[in-house]
Amino acid sequence: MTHPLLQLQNIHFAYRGNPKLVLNNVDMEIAAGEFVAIAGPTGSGKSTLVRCAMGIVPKFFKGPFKGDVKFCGESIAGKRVAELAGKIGVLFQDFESQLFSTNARIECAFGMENIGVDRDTMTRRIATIAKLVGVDKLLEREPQSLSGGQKQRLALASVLCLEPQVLLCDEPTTDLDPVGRHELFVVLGQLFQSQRAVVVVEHEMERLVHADRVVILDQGQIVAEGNPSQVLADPDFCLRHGALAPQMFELAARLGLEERPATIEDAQALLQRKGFLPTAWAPADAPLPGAGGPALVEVEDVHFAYTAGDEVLQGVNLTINRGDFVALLGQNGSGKTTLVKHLNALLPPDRGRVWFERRAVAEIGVAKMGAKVGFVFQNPDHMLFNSSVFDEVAFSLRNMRQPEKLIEERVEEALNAVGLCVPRQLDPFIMTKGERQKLAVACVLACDPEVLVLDEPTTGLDAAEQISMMQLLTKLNLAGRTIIIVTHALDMAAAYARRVVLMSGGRIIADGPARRIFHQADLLARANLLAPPCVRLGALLGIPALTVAELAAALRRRAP
Amino acid sequence: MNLGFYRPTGGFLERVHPATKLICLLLAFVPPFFSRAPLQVLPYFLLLLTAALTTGSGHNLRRIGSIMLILFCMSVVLWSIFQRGETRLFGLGPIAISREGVSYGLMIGLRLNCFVLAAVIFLTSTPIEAVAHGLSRLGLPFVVSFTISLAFRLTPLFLEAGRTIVMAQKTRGLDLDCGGPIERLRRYIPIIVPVIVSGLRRADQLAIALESKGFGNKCKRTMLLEYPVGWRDLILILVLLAAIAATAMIYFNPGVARVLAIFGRTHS
Repeated sequence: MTHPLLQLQNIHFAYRGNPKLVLNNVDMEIAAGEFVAIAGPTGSGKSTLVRCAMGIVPKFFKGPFKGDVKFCGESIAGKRVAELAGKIGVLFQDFESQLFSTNARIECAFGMENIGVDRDTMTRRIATIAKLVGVDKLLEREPQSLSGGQKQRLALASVLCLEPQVLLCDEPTTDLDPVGRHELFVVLGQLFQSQRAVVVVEHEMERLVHADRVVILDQGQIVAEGNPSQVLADPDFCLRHGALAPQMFELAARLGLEERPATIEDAQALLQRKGFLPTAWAPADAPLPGAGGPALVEVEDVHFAYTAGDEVLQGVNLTINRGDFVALLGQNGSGKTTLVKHLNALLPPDRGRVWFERRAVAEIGVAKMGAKVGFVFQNPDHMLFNSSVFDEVAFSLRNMRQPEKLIEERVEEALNAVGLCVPRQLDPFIMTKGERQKLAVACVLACDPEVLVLDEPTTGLDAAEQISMMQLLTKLNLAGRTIIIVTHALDMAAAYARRVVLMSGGRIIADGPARRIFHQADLLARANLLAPPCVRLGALLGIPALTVAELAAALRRRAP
Repeated sequence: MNLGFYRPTGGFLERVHPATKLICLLLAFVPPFFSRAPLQVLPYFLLLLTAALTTGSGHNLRRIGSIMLILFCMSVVLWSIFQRGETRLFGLGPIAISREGVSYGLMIGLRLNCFVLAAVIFLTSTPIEAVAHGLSRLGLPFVVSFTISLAFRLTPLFLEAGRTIVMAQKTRGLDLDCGGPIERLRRYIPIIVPVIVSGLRRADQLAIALESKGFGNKCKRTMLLEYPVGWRDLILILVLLAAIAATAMIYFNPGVARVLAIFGRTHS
């Protein structure tokens, strides 16, 4: 009798000190050659499920555990996690913790050395896997010197070198640009074709329409399981459970169609078959702010290198106007984050100048620039340190020696603006990632900066939290705040940003209204980006839509 | 951006077996002890400095040059104050500065910098993985040697996290340079807390990540990189033994030592 590769049977688990069950009677089987996607809102138990599947729970995370996990029909209870390496591989959400070597090649070899793979096999595997994952040119680099996306690929390569029969990936694309995401799923696709099983935890279901099975987890229980076109058919259901439905599924649902097309080509054929035609729809975009008015921030021929001779910014010129909502887009390592760190003097340019309201930011200084150009870092934990929400938000104001009465008012305003309804004395470290992200925004907002810069504001958030964050930024923008986001979430940028700045190789290659930039596929291709599916389908149909809602509004069924 | 000390050059030292280099590192610490005066340490210091500059350690020396200078100056100042001597140079109130005290300070300053130079040469030419391998070849269990080498691996990561956290807090108006000493210390809390929290989270994750890659597996461990023992190992050991012999000869030969101790003997 052949057993499934992996079986999770009646799993119950609660973390020690918290009686709430994180996993409540979860049953799952993974067969050889299967590609399973797991989705669900933050805190639904997805990461815990991955940990259980490799025995990390209950070995490292203590708490009441019931149930059994079997690999090839044999229980893993009592086995050490190290014994399972080579059989079950795991790519963690915090992939940086998986890199501990000083050289990428040695990093790939580390796991194989531990399980006694001979030198020739190691060399062969490293060459094959590194090429497959796209890190073959980086093998002599120090892992810590790589960009986020490169590190994520390297971490995956190091796990794949162990040739696990089951690969568990916990949000494997958080730091990858859109093309990188596409390539990664191609790699994963090749794996499951080779009789191995792949389990991917992911919020964005766009790339998982080809999965064999989608499992939706909520409050520690499986609430839906099956074929992607069935489970993800209802976009509202997906959103309620923390996932964004694939855009083509959402379009079909909005048009009242039963079928769920997996690709743009399928969607185009379906629309043709069902008699949908483009209407004379035209977007009513307001002009971009600032035309003719004084610029708020000006970047003038800025050059910057972290190490001599390796320029990350190569003569960047950029003007930000009051009231702009700018999305800074580009592939990993294109210089986006480095550029925004110049806007508030966090980094001094090697050459060129940065001006804020016609004053050089270098002269104003970082501390004072913080009150003019607020910066929200990608990881909110780099900012938070106080033991209460109130003290955290009040920190900047106290640094500015504001009176306590004003501080109280500003803290309330900032917390209300981000919609953070938690007790003011709550410890930030027990809040969810989404809440901590909002708290970080509130901390910056409290100083009432004219410009708000956010580095990857939606990374690690579930679908509902992502939309909530982008709606918050829109609200702030409509209230007069200038917003600049650095993001890989192109669907979010297309839906919310009004202006797009495209970067490639340390240079700005395009700058203009979001609609114009997103509908220039050649420009996006130069930046190694790919427009969201609804934009690409719109382009095929001659509709300049940026969202699924716009595309659906621009289509009408031909009268029979 | 290279965050560690190791600089691959493919040179002589890089091709010496890491276990030999560890033994040589210990041997390199011996000659400075055979000295009574600064001029007795100076040749060995210059030898190490030349070795450092010719083996690609120049970049790392520039990085820690200020620390070496502080170490040297502090040594000269402190020993000049606390080391009593017969030949009084000048006095500052109750403090008498003697020629022997200054000489002793100079000698200790040079001696300490010899240790630093030897360590820099070793770290520049040896990847951390090789250090772990070398330690295990010297008889330490791999788990122990790997854990020791982890300290070297994680230091640059903590520094990097610290840099980001400093940036994040500066944008929130944190000024680390204003106020008195107590106020300045207090101002480091917004840096220290996130660094510790991220460090603890990292340590937790690290143990899991290591085991998930088979660390601690009972099977026999293999190595990707080969570290052959060859003539370079022999040459390096001989050079260091020669240095030890030369300094020992000077130390135990009163005539030569007296000539070199032109600043006066500091201790017998």
